[in-house]
Amino acid sequence: MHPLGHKQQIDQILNAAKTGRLANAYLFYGIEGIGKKLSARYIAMSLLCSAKDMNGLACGKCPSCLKVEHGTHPDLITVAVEEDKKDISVEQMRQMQAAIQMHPMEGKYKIVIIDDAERMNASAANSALKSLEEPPAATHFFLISSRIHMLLPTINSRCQKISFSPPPLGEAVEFVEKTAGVTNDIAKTLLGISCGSLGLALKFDSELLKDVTTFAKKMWDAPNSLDIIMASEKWAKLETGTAEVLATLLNIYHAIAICQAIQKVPEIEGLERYIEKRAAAESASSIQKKVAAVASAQRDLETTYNKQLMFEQLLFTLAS
Amino acid sequence: MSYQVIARKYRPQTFAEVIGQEHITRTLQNAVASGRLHHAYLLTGIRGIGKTTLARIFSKMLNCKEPVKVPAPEPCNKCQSCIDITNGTSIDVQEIDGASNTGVDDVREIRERVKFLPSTGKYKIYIIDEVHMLSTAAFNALLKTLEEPPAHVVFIFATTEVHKIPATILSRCQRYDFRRITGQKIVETLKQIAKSEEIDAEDACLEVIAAEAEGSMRDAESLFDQAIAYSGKKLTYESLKGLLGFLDRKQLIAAVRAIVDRDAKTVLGLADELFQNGENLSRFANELLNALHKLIVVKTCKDIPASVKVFDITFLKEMADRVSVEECQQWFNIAFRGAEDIARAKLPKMLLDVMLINMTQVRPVQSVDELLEKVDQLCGKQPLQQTTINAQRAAVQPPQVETNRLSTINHKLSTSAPATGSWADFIDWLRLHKPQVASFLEQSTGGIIKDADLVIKFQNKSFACDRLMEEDRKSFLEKLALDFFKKPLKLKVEFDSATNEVAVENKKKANEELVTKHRGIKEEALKHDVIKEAANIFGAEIKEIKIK
Repeated sequence: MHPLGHKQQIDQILNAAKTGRLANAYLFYGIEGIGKKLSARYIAMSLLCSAKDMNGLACGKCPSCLKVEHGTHPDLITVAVEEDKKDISVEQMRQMQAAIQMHPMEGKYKIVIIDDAERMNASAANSALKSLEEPPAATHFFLISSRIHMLLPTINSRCQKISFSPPPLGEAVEFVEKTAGVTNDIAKTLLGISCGSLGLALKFDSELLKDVTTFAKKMWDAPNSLDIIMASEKWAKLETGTAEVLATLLNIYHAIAICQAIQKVPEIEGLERYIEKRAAAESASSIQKKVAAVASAQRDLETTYNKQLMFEQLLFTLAS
Repeated sequence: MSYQVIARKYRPQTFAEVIGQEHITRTLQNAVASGRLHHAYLLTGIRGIGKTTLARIFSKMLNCKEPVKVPAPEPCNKCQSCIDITNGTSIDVQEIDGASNTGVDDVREIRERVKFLPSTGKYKIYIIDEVHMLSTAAFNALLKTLEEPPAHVVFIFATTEVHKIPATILSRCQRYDFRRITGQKIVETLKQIAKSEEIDAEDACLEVIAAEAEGSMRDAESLFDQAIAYSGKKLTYESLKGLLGFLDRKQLIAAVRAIVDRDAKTVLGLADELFQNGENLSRFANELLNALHKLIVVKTCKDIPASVKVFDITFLKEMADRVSVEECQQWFNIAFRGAEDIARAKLPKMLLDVMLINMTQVRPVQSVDELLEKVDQLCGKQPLQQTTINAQRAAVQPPQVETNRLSTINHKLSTSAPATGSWADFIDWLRLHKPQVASFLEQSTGGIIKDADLVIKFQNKSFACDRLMEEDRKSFLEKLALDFFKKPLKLKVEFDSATNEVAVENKKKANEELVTKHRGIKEEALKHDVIKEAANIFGAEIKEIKIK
C-alpha cells in the first residue's frame, strides 16, 4: 500500500517521529485523489509497525501492518463521512474523543485520521479544537483535506500543514494505464483532464469521455438546440460522472485558450484538428468567457438542484 | 513523557510571559492587587494569541497560596494549587470544552456544582473555552448564575467568535479583546525559544515565519516547530523555502516580466514548472496579485509609503516605466478574481493557465478622452471643440486634482510653518497626514524641542501616552518629526502636574467663552426677521438652532 510519490512528505514525518518531534496534528492538503489519505495510512502503518526497517518504513507483513491494511487496528481511528451523510457529525467526533482517552493497546502511538476534514460540520470542527491542541499522550492527528480554505482558522492554526502535489506524470500515466486498463494516449488525456489527480482519472469512464468529445464535435460542426437539450438531459441524469463531464469540457476550452495563446495544440484524444479550428474562429475574450462559464458550473455543481437547467445554460453559452 | 510541541511547551505561566497583551495583563493584575474582582470574564480575539493561556494564569493567580506581590501580582507556580492547574488536575479550576459540552444539561451540571465551596483554594473557577458553541438554551440557562453567582465563583469564557454570543451574556461579563501580536514581538519570542532549544536560526527565517503567522503566536510556533523537524538544528532561509513552498522570487519576477512582455509561452511554461514541482498554485496566484499591487504602488506613488514593503524595487521600477496605470489595474483585476477562483477550484491548474493567458492578452488601453479627441479629429471639427474637451479632461483626471490638493497643503505648510516649526503647527500638519497620531497628541498638554529631544507632556498616564510609547509607534512618530522639523529628534514623554491645573483652567475658560458666544448667536438668529416670517408662514415653532 505504498503510495505513488510523496516520499519527501513521508520522510519528513517519520523523521520527526524518529527524533521525537512528532507533532500533535498534521494537515495534509492538495488536490483530490493524489494519495494524501494513502500516505497518512502508510505513515500510520509505519509508526505502528512492529518490524520496521532501517528507515522506519513499514514491513507490510507483521500482524500490526496487516491490521492497518484491513482497517482493524485498535490504535488507528479513522473518521470519515459516513455513507448517505453529508458531513462528519459531532457524534462521530465524540466517539473518537472517547476512544483516544485510552492508552495505545499495541503500538506506541494512537493515530487518528480525519478524512475530508473540511466536511466536519461546525460543531464537529469546534469540538475537535481542544483535542487537537492538547491531545492525550501519544495521540497524533492526521487531517486530510482538498479544500483547506473551508476549514476553520482555529483548526488550521493548530496543525502543521503539509502540502501534497500530484505524482510525476510518467509514473502516474503508467499507473493509470495498468489499473484502468486503457491505452497510453487515453491515460494521458485522462490525467490531463484531472490535472494529475489519479483518483479522478481512475474514476473516469472512457465511454463518457468519448461521449463528450463527440458532442463537442457535433456542436461545433452544426449547432442544434435539440442536441444540446438531449445531451443536458442525459448528463444531468448520470449517477456519477457529472463532475467528469464538466472537467472534460473545461479541459477542451483550456486547450483552445492555450492554442490561441501559443499556437501549440495539447493532446486530447481525437480533437486536435477541431481545437485548432475553434482557436482560429473565436475571439480570445469569447473563449475566456466560456472557460469562466464552465468553471462556475463546476463550483455550482454541488449546490445545484436542477442539474439539467445548469447543463442547458452552460451548453447554450458554449454553443453561442 | 512524549514530546510536546513548542506551542505547548512554551505556554506562558506568568502574566509577564504573555506577549503583546499588556493592556489585559495589567488590568487583571491591578484587579487582583486592588481586590476588585469581577465574577465573569470574557476573553476574545483571533486564534493563538493567548486567551486560554491567560485564563489559566488568571485562575492560578486567584487560587495561589503564596502569590508574588511585588512589583506586580504573579502566581508562584510552586504551590500545590498552581501545579495542579498547570497539569489540569485541579478540582477547583474546571476547564470545560464548550464545543463538546454544548447542551443545556452540561450547564445544569455546572449550576448544581456552583453551590459548593471550593475544596482547597479561595475560588471555584470555571473556564469555558470555545464558549461560542454553547446552544441558545445552554446560554440562557447560564444567565441567572452568571449574574449573581456565589461569592466564591469566577467564570472565565474564551472564544474566537464573540459575535455568536448573546447580548445578555456579553452584558454580564467583563470583556477583554486580545490584539494581534506584532511581527517584531513574535521574532523576539522565537529567538528566545530558539536559544533555549539550542537551535541556530537565521533572522531572515524568523521574520518570514512571523510574517506567515499573521499576528498569531501559535501559528508562528507551529511553523517554527515544523521548520525544526524539517531541517534540524540549523535553520536557514533555503530550508524554510523548501518547507513552506515559497516561491523563488526569480520565478515570480520572470512571471511578471513575461506578462508585461505579453509572452504567453514563457508564462505558461512557468506555470507548468510550478505545477510539476508541486508548488501550491493558489499561493502563486496570491503572490502574483501581491506583486501587481506593488507594481501599481510603484507606478502611481512617487515615494513608496513606509507601510508597503517592496522587495524587488529596481525591477518593479523598470516594469513600471513600461506600462500604464490602466494596464496595471486590468492585470490586478484579473489576478484578484483569478486568485479567489483558484483557491476554491477543484482543478486549479486549468484556471491558473487561463488566467495567465488572459493577462498576456491585456492590450494597452487608451483613455476615453483620447479616443473622443481622435473621433472629433476624424470628423474634421478640431479647433473649436478642442478647448472644451481639454477643459473637461482637466476636471475629470484624478491625478490633476490630487496635485491640486497637495499644492494647497504645501501652500498652507509653507506659510504657517516656518523652518523651526511650532508644536501647534506640527499637530495641524499631522492632522492632515496622520489623523490618528494627531488625535493622540491632541490629548497632550504640549510639546517642546529641547536640543535633540522632542518632549511631549501629558497630564497623567493615559491610554494615549501608553500607545505613543509603543516601540513601533514611537519610531513612526520620530520619523514624522524628522520630516516636519527637518532634524532628527528623540521622542520623550513627560508627565507634569504643574501645568496640569493651568491647562484645565484654560480649557474651562475657552469652553465658557464658546458657550456665551453661541448663546449670543442663537439669540440673534431668533430675533431675525426672515426667520420670524418663515415661522409665521409655516405656522412653525423653532425647535433647535445648530451652529456650524
